[in-house]
Order: sequence, then structure tokens, then C-alpha cells
Amino acid sequence: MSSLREKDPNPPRLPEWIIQRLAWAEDRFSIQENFREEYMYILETKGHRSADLWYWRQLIRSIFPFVKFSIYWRSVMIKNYLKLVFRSMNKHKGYSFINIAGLAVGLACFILISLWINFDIDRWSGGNYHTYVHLEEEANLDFFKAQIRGIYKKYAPNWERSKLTLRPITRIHLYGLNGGGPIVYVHIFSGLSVFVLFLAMVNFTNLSTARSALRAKEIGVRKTAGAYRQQLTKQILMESKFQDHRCDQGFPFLLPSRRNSTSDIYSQIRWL
Amino acid sequence: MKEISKAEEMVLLAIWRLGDGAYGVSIRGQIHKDTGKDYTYGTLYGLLRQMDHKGYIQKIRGEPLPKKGGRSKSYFKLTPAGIRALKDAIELYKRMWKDINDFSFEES
Repeated sequence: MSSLREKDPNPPRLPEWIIQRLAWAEDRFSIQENFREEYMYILETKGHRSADLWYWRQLIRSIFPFVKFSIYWRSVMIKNYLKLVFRSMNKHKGYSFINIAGLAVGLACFILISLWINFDIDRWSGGNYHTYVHLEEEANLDFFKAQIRGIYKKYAPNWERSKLTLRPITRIHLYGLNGGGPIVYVHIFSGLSVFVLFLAMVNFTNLSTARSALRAKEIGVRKTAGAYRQQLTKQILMESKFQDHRCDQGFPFLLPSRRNSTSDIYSQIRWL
Repeated sequence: MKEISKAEEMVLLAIWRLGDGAYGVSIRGQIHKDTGKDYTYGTLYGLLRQMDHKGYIQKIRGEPLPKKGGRSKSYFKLTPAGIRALKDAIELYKRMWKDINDFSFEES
């Protein structure tokens, strides 16, 4: 077993993997190559154990600088992405306006309707000539129902067609006492809000895709200049994220009271 | 012009001394030989990339390694700006250490 390991000239896998993760893309392979070369040298002169030990020690000592420099370069890149976002937004003002405004209005419609529905489903007000019965917690509902059905038979035998029924208080507001009620509107509006949201999404996606052909040139130039796939992805994603963020920022002004009242819905919307 | 740091100075000098053969391993070895400092690759490559960004050094792609899927090694070379930075550094030292000699710090 040990002889097998002895012949294997490759450095241990785990630290190699860690280096791959830690190092920035540009120098990742050079750094790995350097580690390998020195590892091989120590392997030949001092043997396996000290080579492995060297590798691990080097790695552990390298972690802090790696992380430090990675963060530094990442922040440089993020600054650059942000600059690009603003530039492309200023360059295509009309496009950006339609894109952002469309999404914002769509989202605002959706959220306002959701708020209304939320309000309607959550709260109710009572007050009519019906009788309200408050049941004890331990009361047997089925027994009570049976009892109440017999009330007319017992006290008013002539009113054969009359009937007493029970209805939970939570269903009074939306379902009405005589059938129908606002629940129909709730259903219509929830359907409508989903439709509006869908329209906004399609609009946004459509505009973005339509421009992708134009952006191909820009991306080509970037790639030629040495950009990595990951960096391009990040840049484009950041752009659309930023536009999305702008609508999110704009929409609370449409509401009577800002975020606190909408926070629960807001948090549900966020991930969209 | 902004002065270079001591670490940058060491790396630049090592690259200059190595001439055409300056790459990761040899730079690290040279620094160890000259100054006795044991730089990790993390620090070294961080500095190299920073100085590449500032324009003191230039990265050059070498021949691909003679194996399957071998990537090309990257070598480093000083740019004129890098050489100027080194000259500036030594000028600064000369001015700083003017009329101070080996005996200046001795207690009389």
C-alpha cells in the first residue's frame, strides 16, 4: 500500500482542491503549477512525508493572503460592474425606462392587489340582526348543531320550512349570509394580479432577450480582452438585479404607509 | 510618484536578478536566497498581480508544459515603469541615509 502511494507523484488532493477554490481565476493554474513543481522537488530530495508536510504548511500559511487578495480583487470587479450598469443604463435611456417602469408598475399592481386581498381575508367587521353564539371551547359542535336543528320543531311546530343553521364567524365576511359575497371579487382580483405579474415578467424577459443580440458584440470584446465566463455572468446578472432593485425601491412610495405594513408581503415578493 | 513598499521592492529586485527565468518558484527561491524571507505563494501572487495592475511588471506566457493538457507557464518581466520604480527606491534610500555610516549609531 505504502509503495503504491510512494510512486504516486501527484500532491495530495484535498489541499490542491482548496487552492483551486481560494485562488483568483487569473492565476489559479500558475499557482497550482508552482506548488506542484516545488512539491516534486521536495519529493525527490527528501521523500514523501516531508513533501506532503511542506504542501500543507504552505497552504495553511497561504490561506490568509489568498483570502485577502481575493476580496480585494472582487471588490475591484464589483466597482467595475456597477460602473458598467450605470453606463449601459445611461446609454439606453429609453430601453431602461420602459424596462424598469414596466416591471415597477406590474409589481406595484400585483402587490397592491395582494395587500387588498390580504386585508380582506384577515379582518372582518360584523353588525346585523343575526344572532351570534359564542361557544365554550370544550363545547361539542356536532351535538350543538343537532340541538339547534330541533329548536323550531320544539317551539314553533307550524314553521315547518324554517331552519336554523350555524356558520362560523370567520366565513361571514367573505361568503355573505345569503350566498355570494366579496369572495368572488377576491378570486377575480387574485387571478388578475397573477396575470399582471406574469405580464410584467414577460415584458422584462422579452426586453432583456431582445437586447441580447446587441450585447453579443460587447461580450465579444470583453472576452477578447480576457474576461472570464464567470465574470461576464456576474456582470449581466448584476445589471438585471440592479434594475429589479430600482423597481423595488420605487414601489413603496405608491403605498400609503411604507414598508412596515407591507413587510410580510414584501418579504414574499423579494425572492421574485 | 508613489513609493513602492518593501515587499514590492524585494519582488521586483528578484525578478530583475532572474532575468528571463522569473516565474513563481524561482522568484520565491530568489527572495529566500537574497533576504532569507519565506514568502508564501498567496502573498507572492497577490503582490505580483497588484504590480501587474500598476504596470511595474508584465506577465508573459511561456511555452506550454510538455504534458497532456499542459498549460503555459507565466513568466514575469520588469517594465520600464518597474525599473524606474526601483531606481526611485534606491534614490530615496540614498537621500534618507545621507551622511550616515556604519559608526553613526555607535554610542560614543
